[in-house]
Amino acid sequence: MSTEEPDTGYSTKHSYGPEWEEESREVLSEVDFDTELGIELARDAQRLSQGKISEEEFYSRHSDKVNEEFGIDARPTDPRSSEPLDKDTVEDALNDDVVAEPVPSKYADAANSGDGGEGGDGGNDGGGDGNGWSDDEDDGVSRRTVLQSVGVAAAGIAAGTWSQRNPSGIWDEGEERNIQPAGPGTGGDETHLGFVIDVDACIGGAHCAIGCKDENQTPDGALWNFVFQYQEPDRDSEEYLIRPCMHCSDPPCVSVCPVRARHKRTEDGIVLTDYDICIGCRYCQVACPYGVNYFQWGEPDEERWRDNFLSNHDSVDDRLDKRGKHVAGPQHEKGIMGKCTFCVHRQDSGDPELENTTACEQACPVDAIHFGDLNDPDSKPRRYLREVEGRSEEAGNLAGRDTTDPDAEWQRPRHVPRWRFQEQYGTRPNVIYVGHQPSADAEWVDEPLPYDEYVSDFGHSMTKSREGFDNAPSDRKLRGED
Amino acid sequence: MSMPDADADDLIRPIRKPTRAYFLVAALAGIASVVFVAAYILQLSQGMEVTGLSDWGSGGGSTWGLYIGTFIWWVGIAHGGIVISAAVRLLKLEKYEPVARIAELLTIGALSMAGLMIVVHLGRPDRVVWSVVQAYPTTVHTSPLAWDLTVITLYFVLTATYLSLTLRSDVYRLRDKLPDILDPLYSLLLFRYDTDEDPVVERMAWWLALAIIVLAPLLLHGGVIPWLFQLTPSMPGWYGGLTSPTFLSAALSSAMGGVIVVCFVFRKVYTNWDKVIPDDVIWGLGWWMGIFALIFIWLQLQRMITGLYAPPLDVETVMTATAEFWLYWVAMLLMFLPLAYVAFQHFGILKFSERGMLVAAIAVVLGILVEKTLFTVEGLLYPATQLYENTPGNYFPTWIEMSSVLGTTGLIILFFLLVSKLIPIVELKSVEHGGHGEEEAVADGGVETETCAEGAQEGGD
Repeated sequence: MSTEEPDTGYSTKHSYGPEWEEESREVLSEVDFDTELGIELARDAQRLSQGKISEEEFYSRHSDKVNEEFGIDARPTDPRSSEPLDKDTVEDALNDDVVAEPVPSKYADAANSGDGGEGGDGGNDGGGDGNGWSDDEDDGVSRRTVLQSVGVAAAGIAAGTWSQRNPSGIWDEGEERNIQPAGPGTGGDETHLGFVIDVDACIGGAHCAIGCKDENQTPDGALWNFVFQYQEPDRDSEEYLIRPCMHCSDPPCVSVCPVRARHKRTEDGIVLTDYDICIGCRYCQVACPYGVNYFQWGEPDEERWRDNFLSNHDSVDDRLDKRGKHVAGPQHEKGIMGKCTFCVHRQDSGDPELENTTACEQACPVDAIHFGDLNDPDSKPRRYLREVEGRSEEAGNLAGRDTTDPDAEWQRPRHVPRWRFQEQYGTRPNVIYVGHQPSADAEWVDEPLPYDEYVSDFGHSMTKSREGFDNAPSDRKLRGED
Repeated sequence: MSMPDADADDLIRPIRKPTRAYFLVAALAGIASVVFVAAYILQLSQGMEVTGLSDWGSGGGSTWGLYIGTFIWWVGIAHGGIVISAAVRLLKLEKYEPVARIAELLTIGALSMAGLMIVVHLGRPDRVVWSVVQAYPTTVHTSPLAWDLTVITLYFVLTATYLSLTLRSDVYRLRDKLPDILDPLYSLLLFRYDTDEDPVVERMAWWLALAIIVLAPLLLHGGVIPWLFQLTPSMPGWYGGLTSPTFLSAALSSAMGGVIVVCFVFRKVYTNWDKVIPDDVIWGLGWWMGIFALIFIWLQLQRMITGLYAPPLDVETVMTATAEFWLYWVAMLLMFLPLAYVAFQHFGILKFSERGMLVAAIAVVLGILVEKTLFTVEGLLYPATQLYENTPGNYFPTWIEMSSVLGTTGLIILFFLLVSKLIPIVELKSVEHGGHGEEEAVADGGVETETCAEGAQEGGD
């Protein structure tokens, strides 16, 4: 990809050696609180960030001393609150930056913008200034309170280390601008469905693509979800990228649609196509940076899709969402556009087994796809993000590396890269990838994952031959041959 | 010169004389149109898979193609026509008065063809009116395509108003010479006409001309049409501020070319029309066509040098692909050779030749069609995302798409054949300016014109 992975800055800033200790003592000696306790707290925080002690251990250690010194043990420290926090809240705070992209009101479809006026603009201009906590309104006040309680140096060191414990180093920089102040319509506390996709877990079997095809009965050639394969020059392994629709918070397809067929559903942020309004100009497809739109070029095989659709749906009315709009299921009408719907029929089914699930998620044999409300800390994607950090610690232990030497190269605070695809277009996608991000040097393999050989269980081919295909002049030399 | 100066009788000659050639041309244009209609019906019944288009992305194709290229082409031709006409009125360019109305008619025709291309391009043309109208209050804020429809409609209304206003006094003054069978049409055109309105119409036309000349370069081909493309950051072949001026220069050069072709035909077919539209006018149109072709080529040079010297990777991909595609260079040659030809004429190295200018004009018009289609397709075949780098696929238009180019050309020809039988396609005052009876004509046009016309009538045929 054309954006480089931001430098997290971890590797050079902190050595935690004698120099650091001396410097810290100097700082701590200037305040009235216990210097040794500050140092101990900071060391523990480092150990925690390196995975050598558990969070519970960290919380319980020195509790007495802290209470004695400060009259309160306010750890784990959320600088926005002077109240002691329970563990879940702390985790929420750590994962704050995972909030879904908000739904700007301008994209709210007419049917929904009426109810309750919840579509207020996200006011997404509160961008960060490099401080991980800066977006909160009462920032100044609450921080002062915290400082009074805990002591300036200890808090400073602990918070600094904590932010390293936060696996989202890349996230902090990349995502901070997206942290929304809470409030109606800002995306902070509203449902916003999205994916967390672990591309490192993906084995490239394209089960997701087939699962999607079978569930949605999409036309031949339409790949609402698919897996791409590439190689990095410096890596031996094959890498994969799963590409559904990103259900962006600032979707260009919605902006350009001349008839408002393409819209963003306000209640959960799904980007949908109203099949009854679409005129088939294909401008949405042109404007999308991801290439996720599929036009119905020919006459659909009515009989086939209907039968197949009914084999796993109650009725063809499943194609209507809860607003009564014709947005779900396959776009089996000639001349209109379709794309991934986040399985909107499942979300609207009222069936707890189906809600917050998608076909691709279910079909994935390695649990790489996690679907749910990105604004809900207990949702599958949010839980997975927390879990995946632990996994990387475990991996270190499993690899039998020296876990006692805090200065060991491999033990530098680790993070699992989190990124969103092609953010440079300002689309604010709601698919969060975990794992390797394709570099600018990535080589998309000679043959794409041979999806032309894939046939769904119902016999839909993944690709579709076109007229004017083979007799075309070969002006695409750059692609593939070079 | 053996021929007398052009007069009113010359102007209405096309209305009077349907020749064998007329029917022959009508038949050919009719066939092209019918093929186009048949192809379109086929497309409606089978879906757009009869085209060479496909989804960009994993479909490996181009979702916009020749239809959109042809759309851009027609809008461009529509453009320059009216710019000529508006310039004539605003700047009082009497020399070009004879082509003002031809240019207006070309605009009306070409703009209709552009609209038709949009409809042909749609998957669900049946829905277009209602779907667009119901969403318009919202989409006009965000969708370049909604802006596009707005400006094209406005432009059409302005041009049609302009044409019908300026037509009234001519029809009134030539009424006696016009065929009686068309009386209902003329009565309609002259509804509540009063000679006193002429100065008012003159002023209105001036203001309309001003509106058009502001609208056309700033909003149409220098605005919303290129904005459809250049505001798409994920398509590096399209993105960037250079797209608008390139479109504008393309529009103006191809429009000049279009007007030259129409003028050439009328000059050839009708006696004494080389006086109605003198060589000087053709030479001047050719000169401006050359100027705009030069600007176009210069902008292409900027695009190429920026896209090839040290570009971002995605820009490099699309510009390299364009530079390595022979068809692009064909388009550039089609622009460059006419430029060279016109320049050689200007420097006196080559003599003015009507036929030479026709060939040059056709070359420019075709060059722009090729380049604009290529621009559309290359943009989509080389998006910024690397995901689809190795996805197989390409775009080549099918005969169904190609028939739209011929078909719309046929329809334009039919349009001119029809209109030239209904109204004088050159303004009366342009021949009045040409020589005798100028002063009197202003005072009492109808009578004077008739008198003058009688004197020249015999020599005319």
